[in-house]
Amino acid sequence: MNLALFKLEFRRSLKGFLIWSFSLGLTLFLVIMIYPVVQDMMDALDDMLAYLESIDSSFVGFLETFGGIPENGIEYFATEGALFLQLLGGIYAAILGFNIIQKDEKEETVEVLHVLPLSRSSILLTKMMHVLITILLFTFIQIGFVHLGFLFVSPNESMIELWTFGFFDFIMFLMISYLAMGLALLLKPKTSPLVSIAIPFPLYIITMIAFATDNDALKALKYLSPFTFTEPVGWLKDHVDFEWLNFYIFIGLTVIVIILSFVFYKKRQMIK
Amino acid sequence: MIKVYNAKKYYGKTCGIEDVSMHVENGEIFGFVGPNGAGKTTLIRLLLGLLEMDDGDAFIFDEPVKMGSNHLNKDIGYMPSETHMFDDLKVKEIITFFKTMKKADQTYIDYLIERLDISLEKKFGALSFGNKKKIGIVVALMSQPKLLILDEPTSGLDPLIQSRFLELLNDAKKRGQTILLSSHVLSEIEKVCDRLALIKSGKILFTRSMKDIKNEEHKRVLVSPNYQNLHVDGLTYVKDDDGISNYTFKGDINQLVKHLSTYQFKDVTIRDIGLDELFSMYYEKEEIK
Repeated sequence: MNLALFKLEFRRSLKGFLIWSFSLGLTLFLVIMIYPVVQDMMDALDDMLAYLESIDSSFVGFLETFGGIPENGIEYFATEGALFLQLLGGIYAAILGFNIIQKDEKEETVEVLHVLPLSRSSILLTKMMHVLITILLFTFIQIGFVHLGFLFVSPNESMIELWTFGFFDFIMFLMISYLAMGLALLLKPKTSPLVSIAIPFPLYIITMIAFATDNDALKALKYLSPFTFTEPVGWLKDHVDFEWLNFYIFIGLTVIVIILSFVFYKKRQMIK
Repeated sequence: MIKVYNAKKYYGKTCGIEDVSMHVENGEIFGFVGPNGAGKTTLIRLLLGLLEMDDGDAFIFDEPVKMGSNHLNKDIGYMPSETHMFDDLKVKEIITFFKTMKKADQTYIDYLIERLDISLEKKFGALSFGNKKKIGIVVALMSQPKLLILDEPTSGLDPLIQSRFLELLNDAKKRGQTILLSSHVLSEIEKVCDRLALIKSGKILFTRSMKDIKNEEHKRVLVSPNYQNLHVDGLTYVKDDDGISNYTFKGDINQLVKHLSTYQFKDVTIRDIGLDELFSMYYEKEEIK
C-alpha cells in the first residue's frame, strides 16, 4: 500500500464522503428523533390491531412480514431506519467500489497513475484500502447518528446490539464495494458509475422477497444476497440465528472477485 | 535506450501501428513526427506498458517492456498529450503528490515552477489547457529521469513558455537524459532533435539524423508566370499552383541564378525548404505510392 496515493484518494473523495455520510446520518438521526411520536402512534395502533386480528388472524402475520410492531427503540430502528442505512449505504458502497476502477478512466487520470513507480497491484490495493477506511468511517458516522438520536429520546436502548449490527453492515457494504469493483473491470472504460446500482438494489429486493414469502424455493433466494446476514428485523427484533452460510458464501465470492480483480487490473489497457 | 522491433497494435480492426521498428540512443533527443492519428501516442503507450502489443518486442534500458509492468517507471518521466490530473486539487497538492511518488528534488521543482510561471494556489480543474500542460511538464521533468517521453508537449503553450520549455529540454540533454519527443510541430523538432522518425498511418516512413536532413536540404524555386521547362542540374519540377510553377533545387545556386536570368519572369522566389514542406513532400510521395 502507498500512503501518498492513499491520502490523494481520500482528498479526492472527501466531498462525496461528507455529503453521503452527513445527509444519510442526519436522516437516520431524524428518524430516531421522531421515535417518541411514533411510539405513541404504535400504542394506539395496538388496540386497533387486536381488533383487526379478531376479524382476520392472518393480518398480523402479514404485518410481521414487514417487521411488525416494534416494542422498543432498537426494534423501531430495525423496522423504520435500517432500510435507509442499508439501501442508501449499499448504493454509496457500490459507487465507491465501482470508482476504484472507473473514476480514473473517466477522468483520464489513469495515464499519469499507471506510469508512477508503483505496481498496479499496489495501486489497486491502496484504492481498496481507501474504500475500506471510507466505508468504515461512513458506517461509524451512520451508527453514531443513530446512537446520538437514542441518547436524546431513549437512552436505555441496547447500544452494543446496535454497534454489532453496524459492524456487520460495514462488512456487507465492503462486500458490495468489492463486487462493484469486479463489475467495473468487466465493463468498458468510462461506464457511468450509476451502473453499479445494479448490485445493491436487486440484492436488497431479493432479501425482501426471501423474507416475505412462505415459498421454499423463493426463501432459498436469501443465499444470493449479502443483505440476508444483516437483515435488520431478524437481527435486532426477532433475534434469529446469524445466517452463517450466507455470510460464508459472500466472503468466498468477495475473495474470488478480489483475486480476479488483481489479475484483470494488471491486464487492463488504456484505450480511449 | 529504447529499441522497438516490428511492433504492431490494432484497436479491433483499426490500425494503431504496423510493423514499427526504431531505436533511440542514449543521451539524444529523438523526434517522433507525424500528423494526428499517425500512431505516435499508440507507440508511446506501448512503451509505457499502458497498452499490450499485438506483435513485436520493445526494450527500454535493455529490459523488455511488458504491459502493466512498472519496473521501468522510476527512470521514466512521461508527459501525455493532454494533461489530465485531479480537478478538485490545488496545483501545489498535485505537485507535492508527484514529488513524493517520484522522490524529486524540491530545488529543481521550484526552478521549473519559476521558469514555467506556474500558479500553485489554483485548482487544477480551473486551469486553461496550456496551464494544465505546464503542470504536465513539471511532473514529467521533476525527478530528472534517465528517459523523458513527451507526447505533443508544446501544443497549447504560449511562445515564451514554448521557448523556455525547449531550453529545459536542451538542459536535460546536457545532463545526459534521453528524450523521445512526439510532435507535429516541426519547428520545435528542428530546434532540439538529433534524429527523427516520420510516421504516417501507423508506419514509419523513415528515420534520419537532423544533420543528414540539413545536408540534403533542398531549396524551393517558384517562377511566375508558370513555366515547366527549366533545365538546370539539380532542378526538379514539382507542380503548378495558381499560375506559379514550383520546383525543388539542390546544387550550385549560382548556376541556377544565371540560368533563371536568361528568362523574362515576372517574379522569381528561391527559398529554403523547411521540415514542414519536406515532410509534406514525403507524405505526398507516400500517397502517390
